[in-house]
Amino acid sequence: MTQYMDDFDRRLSHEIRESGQQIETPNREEVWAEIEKRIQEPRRKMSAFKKAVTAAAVLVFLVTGTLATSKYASAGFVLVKMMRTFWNNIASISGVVQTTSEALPRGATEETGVAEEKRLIPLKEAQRLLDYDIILPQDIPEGFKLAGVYVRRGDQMSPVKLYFEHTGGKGNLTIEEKPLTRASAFSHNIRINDAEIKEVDIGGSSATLIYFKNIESRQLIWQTPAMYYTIEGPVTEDEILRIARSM
Amino acid sequence: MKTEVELFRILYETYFDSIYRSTYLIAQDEFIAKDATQEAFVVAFQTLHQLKDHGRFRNWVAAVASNKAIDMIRKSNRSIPVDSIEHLISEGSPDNPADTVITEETRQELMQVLKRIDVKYREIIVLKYYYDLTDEEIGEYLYMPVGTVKSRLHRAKALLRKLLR
Repeated sequence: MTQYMDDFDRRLSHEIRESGQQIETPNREEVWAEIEKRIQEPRRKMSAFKKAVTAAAVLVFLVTGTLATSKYASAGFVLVKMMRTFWNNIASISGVVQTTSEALPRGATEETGVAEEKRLIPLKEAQRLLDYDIILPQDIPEGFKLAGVYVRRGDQMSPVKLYFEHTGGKGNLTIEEKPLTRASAFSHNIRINDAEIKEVDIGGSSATLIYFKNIESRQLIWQTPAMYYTIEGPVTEDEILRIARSM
Repeated sequence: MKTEVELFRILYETYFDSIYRSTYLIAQDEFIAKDATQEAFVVAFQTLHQLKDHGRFRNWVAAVASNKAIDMIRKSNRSIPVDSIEHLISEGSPDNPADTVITEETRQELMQVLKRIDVKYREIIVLKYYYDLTDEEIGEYLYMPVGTVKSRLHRAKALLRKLLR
């Protein structure tokens, strides 16, 4: 505490902490079980959405998580690049991203509980909800039309997912844009029997292009210092690269 | 690679005890403290991306838990009306550092005294002395002008001095 403390302050501080230490805590496992149940609920709903847009055959699971213990936080943040590792027939594309920032945004506690399931809404409406600019690619393959944007209301830095439908029923194309405003970790695990992986360049950033042979779909993953992007859909290599490079 | 939930559990394991304890100090009720702490971690998971300074995670969740506890207390009408004890301040308690000395004997008394003061004062006292937060930080977490934090803190200390005599 940097503010002035008198004897009474110091004694209160000491005694309150001592008193606190004597408080018995409830069973952590039981409390965690309830918390886990609650936080998994919306994730299950999301998985239905993901299945729809990623074409189920793919054995990719995308995990985005926080890595923010006080130990890491106090050490400052480092941007860790994506790593690709291979073992047996599994490729893992993973990374940890930590970003620097200054302060808890006002509203963080009052907005508690307002996080909502992402909804498909028009682009303009989504943009009004956000504090950053949604990037719309200039080059979209013929036949794909923007159906809307998935965004979480009440969250001005919500990741967005642009959802394009193919008028000829070819399948859907999605572009995920996620601002790197928090520490995050991600992992894509891919069975390389079913996929081809190559490194490509997008605007000077190294990107990973995955071709899922079984479903003839491609996924392109890359990041800039401020954003993490994923494009996914039934498009050719040339098409997916042109989409990315037009963003 | 750990999943999002597994990573969050590390945070939970790290901070659960201190957040439960501070919430208990505020709520003075184990069930409310447990529910409020649980709620706070759920909220933290859902809105963690809003927390830009990760070094403040513990204080942030503690403040959320505190807010939740106070909501629960108010809903259950367990709060002690402040008027019932606040008149003690007017009886005079000079803000003298040497005025009150907390001894070993008074530690348990402190817990009893905390129960007697209004939860809005307990909250300030716990955030200030359990977490070492500055008045500005308390104001930020509780959406309260710093002036209000200072005046509440002053009144809370005056009450504690009086009641601990």
